[in-house]
Amino acid sequence: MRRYLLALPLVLELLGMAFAQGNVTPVSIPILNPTFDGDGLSCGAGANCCENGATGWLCGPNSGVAKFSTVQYPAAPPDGIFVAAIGDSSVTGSILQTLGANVEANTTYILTLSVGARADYPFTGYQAVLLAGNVPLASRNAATPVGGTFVTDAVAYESGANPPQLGQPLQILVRSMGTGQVNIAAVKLTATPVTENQQ
Amino acid sequence: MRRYLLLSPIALALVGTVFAQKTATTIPIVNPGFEDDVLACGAGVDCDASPLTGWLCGPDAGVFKPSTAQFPNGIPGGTNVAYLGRGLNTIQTGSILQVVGATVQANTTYTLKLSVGARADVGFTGYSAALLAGNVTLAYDNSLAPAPGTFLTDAIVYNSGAAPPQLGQRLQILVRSVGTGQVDIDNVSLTAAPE
Repeated sequence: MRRYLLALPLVLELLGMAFAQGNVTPVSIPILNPTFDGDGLSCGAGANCCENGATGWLCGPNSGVAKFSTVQYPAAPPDGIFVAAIGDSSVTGSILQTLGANVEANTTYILTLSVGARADYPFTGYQAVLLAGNVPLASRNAATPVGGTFVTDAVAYESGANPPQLGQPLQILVRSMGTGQVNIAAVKLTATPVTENQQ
Repeated sequence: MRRYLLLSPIALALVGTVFAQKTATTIPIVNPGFEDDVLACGAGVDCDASPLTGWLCGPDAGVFKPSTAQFPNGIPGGTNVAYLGRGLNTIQTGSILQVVGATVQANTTYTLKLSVGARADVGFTGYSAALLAGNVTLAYDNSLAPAPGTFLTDAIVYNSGAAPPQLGQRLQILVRSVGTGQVDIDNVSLTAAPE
């Protein structure tokens, strides 16, 4: 719970960047299968209820969809929680999605993720990256969820008047670091135009 | 009279142009019949591999070379199909996704066609086929229920209208299995025709 509170000011600050200076409503950019429940897993929730691959996401090694139980996440619902399970003790993993939206000038993009650490498996870090045309625009790896919990992380990118990747399609990349596993329960991306008086 | 004769080629050309514009254009799809991957094994229940050339595959999807044990009358084209969902002791659904090079244009009718098959030896529990752009669903269908061992042809139509919300976004094709069974897909095509 404390971890959520620690992350809250950051999220509020980032969201404030979009809201405080002009009351412009953020536009949600569509993501395919953003909560990783688009693939049915008929197995009982638990450590072994997982499969490589996730609809809509290009998956690296040992990465895919999982349905975890209260053993992995004590606050999980009775029928389990769907996540992207990225990496394990043998290899790092990743998930990547190229979106339909392109980089526009004078826009603030905020990528929000729910980052989880299993209670029964090591968490050794992650990296969340917003890219365009395969070029990283912004990244974060600061969240450190306690075992069995999720925290919200947010990656912000302000494109400015002349972004180098203007017109390139936006991409989301999440990778595990080290020999542990990171779980992602939800991904969201918004775009907010920066009004003239904000610049 | 001579004037009419002089004008007639022009009139015919104009009429021809109008008709030509109404002709549907085929939008290229990589590996539309799933024949790009060559399976050396003999056709049958164990002759499959994952993933598929040109398609982004969800958890349980790949290329499959069925025999008459699965489809007694054969398959719509070639020797391979895409299988979505294992169907045998399955625990997960499958999906295939491809982003094509064409983008949404105004006043255009897009028609996505595909053959939807149900194996004779594995349960069929549904599917969903969708045309998307920018990760937004434009049109979809899940209504077909082929008899075991057969295929049916599905056609999904999207009329973009004068000001489509996804104007300029790249088109996407997404097919997924539903439930614990397997759906087999063959001969995917996508056309665009001016409305």
